[in-house]
Amino acid sequence: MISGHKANGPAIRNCSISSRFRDGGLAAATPQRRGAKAPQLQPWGVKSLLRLMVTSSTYRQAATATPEKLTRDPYNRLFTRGPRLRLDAEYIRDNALAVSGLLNPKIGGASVKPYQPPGIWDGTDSVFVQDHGQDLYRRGMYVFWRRSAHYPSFATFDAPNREVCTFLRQRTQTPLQSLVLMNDPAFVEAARGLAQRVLLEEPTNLDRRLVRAFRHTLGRKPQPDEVAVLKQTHEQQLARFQADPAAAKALIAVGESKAPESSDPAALAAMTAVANVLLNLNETITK
Amino acid sequence: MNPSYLQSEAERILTRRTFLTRSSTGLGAMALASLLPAHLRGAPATQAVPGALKTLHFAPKAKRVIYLFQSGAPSHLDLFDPKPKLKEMTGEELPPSVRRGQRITGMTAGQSVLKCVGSPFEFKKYGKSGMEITSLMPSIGAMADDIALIRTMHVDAINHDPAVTFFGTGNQQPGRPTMGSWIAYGLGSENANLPSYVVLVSGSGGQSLQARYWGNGFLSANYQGVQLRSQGDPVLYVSNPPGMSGDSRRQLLDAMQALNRKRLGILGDPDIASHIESYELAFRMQTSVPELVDLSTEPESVLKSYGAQPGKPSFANNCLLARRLAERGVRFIQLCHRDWDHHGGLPDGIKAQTRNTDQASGALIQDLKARGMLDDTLVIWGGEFGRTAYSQGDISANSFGRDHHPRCFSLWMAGGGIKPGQVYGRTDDFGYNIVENPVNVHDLHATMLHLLGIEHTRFTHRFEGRDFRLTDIAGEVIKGLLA
Repeated sequence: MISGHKANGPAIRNCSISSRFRDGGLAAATPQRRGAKAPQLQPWGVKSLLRLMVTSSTYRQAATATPEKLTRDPYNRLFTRGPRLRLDAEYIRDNALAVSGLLNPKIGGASVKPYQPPGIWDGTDSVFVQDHGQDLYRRGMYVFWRRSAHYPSFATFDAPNREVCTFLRQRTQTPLQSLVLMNDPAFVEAARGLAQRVLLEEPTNLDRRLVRAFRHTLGRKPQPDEVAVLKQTHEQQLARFQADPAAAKALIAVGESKAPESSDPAALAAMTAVANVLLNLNETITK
Repeated sequence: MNPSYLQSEAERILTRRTFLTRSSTGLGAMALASLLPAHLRGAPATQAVPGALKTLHFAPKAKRVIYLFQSGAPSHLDLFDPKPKLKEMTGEELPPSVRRGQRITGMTAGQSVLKCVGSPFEFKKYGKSGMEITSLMPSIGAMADDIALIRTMHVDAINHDPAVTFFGTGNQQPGRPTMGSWIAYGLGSENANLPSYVVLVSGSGGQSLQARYWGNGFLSANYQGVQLRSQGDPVLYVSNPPGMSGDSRRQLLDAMQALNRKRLGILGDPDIASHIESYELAFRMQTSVPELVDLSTEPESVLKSYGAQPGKPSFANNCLLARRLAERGVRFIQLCHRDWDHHGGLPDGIKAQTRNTDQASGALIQDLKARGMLDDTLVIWGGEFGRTAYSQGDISANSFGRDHHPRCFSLWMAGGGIKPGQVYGRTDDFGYNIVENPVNVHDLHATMLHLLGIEHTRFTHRFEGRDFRLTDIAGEVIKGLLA
């Protein structure tokens, strides 16, 4: 038995639901040990099944992959480590909006058309009319879906086009995704939102402000060397934006939400740049 | 020596191969190509490629493809397939013996009479080969000896979207990868700073274009066609936000990567390593893409030959960009030019569209040739189907229309191992049905893959328990098209 299944809670065995389903599925990756007791489930009890799974020792393992685990179980079919998956397209945006404080949590209603670059709908028969105000910050599930010309950041992050049945989304990594997270106005505005948020929460102490930004984004405390990286970045960017106030003003003007009148443009821009770093981390877009 | 009954089929073929390759005539090689299954072919069979294929099935003629897709279906009868008899019969009813009761679209099925209409435009013989094409396309005509004109393409679909989808993916229903994705997947990238499948769109009006016309289907999104846009960022979000310099971006990237690398050290997840690599590629694209699309660096003479104007989006600009992409090792370059769907007002429509496309199409071939790139670049020019010999609606003094016609139409190819200066296939006197040498979409795909060094039946991807091919379960390499 490969370590990691111990501790408390039952261990879950591999049940493969994948795009190879029609293939007859994969052979059970972890053969049932003789005499091992299968967990008892209520018939059709989805809730209890989910509870069993998420409270299991298997699910709650660390995602740490040792070279040995990578060799023996490269795709984690044996569940030798905890799941570590990139968020789906909509959640990447939702997460950035939530972290920034911009998220509009309204439930239901008509679809919304947030910012998108010019010309996306040019090949279609329709004219794109962007929404404004709070509609820009609604969850991804409410973003208007045009099959012939998708909302670009979702298409880039593997959201299916909904023209054919898809029972498993792809999870790819492409440079176009990096460009979205770095430069899409939705994400630049979210970075500024996060910057405003932590400037408000910690107006005087830079170290504590950086720690807050880190914790908001990643849900854990940073290590000292991680804070040091952010601090150095902040210093560099602050110097740049103090030397070039026009650049600072331009950066914090991205998006339709307004930066507070009272804010110091260079300070806000520098913190926006740091927040842009945080929103782009692999850890941020990964569960 | 083994008695023949002990020899396997493969051994016998190999013996024959030995004979053929030793013969000093070119016939040996020619015969070989047609006799042997690809994996037994004598050509240097192990050319490595950085894609999923790893090695090519046989020596390639072409390294890349430029597909000049003419969306909406240009009329073969007015451009590429002269029909004097049809012209003579203009205004008369199309003889039922020609149509043979075949299905036509709902747009003309209700017409009380289907009247023949010949092309109002002159055809001209071009080049040494005397290829007859419309006088509206002098630039393409000037390259006649470099192109192979297929007059007998045919497609099952009778409407735009299924036909475009069929051309793109080998299947009428959406969901499969497009040919550019297949090729990017199989051959991989020749340029680490650019995507290997790039799409350029021009024109307006007519049929809409769907993002899935360059979609990756069930292949990885890494093989999706990346659209180079003529307004805003050439690649979506390639520019830094306002106020952020390239130097600033590099500093932020260094910070990101330091934090990512720390996590990689702790977790050992290879996904983090590829995340880091993706960002570095994205950063390089921030330099390589603006450089690529900057047409102002082209000499005036080149701009003039294409009719390209920097900053003014056009098919001509896209043709020039196609050459620049080809130079930079992009595998599949797909242009989509809109508005060939001439149900009415065809004469004016055709004149406008040939004005928009002829000069640059011809210039592209000429330019590739002058740079020695035509030999390993396959250029394909064509729409999704042809147009009817009969008029949709009335024929007036100087106008008429043509409906969709999938039973035969023209498409041309150049370079990349194509036998140039030839017309392939023959249609009837009305350009309605094929008389000899039909070429279907699967055949076109099989031939294209063949030129790229790929045996189409062996180029598969397993998805949902089944091996898929671009050519589905069909396709023959059209030998007559090969040099």
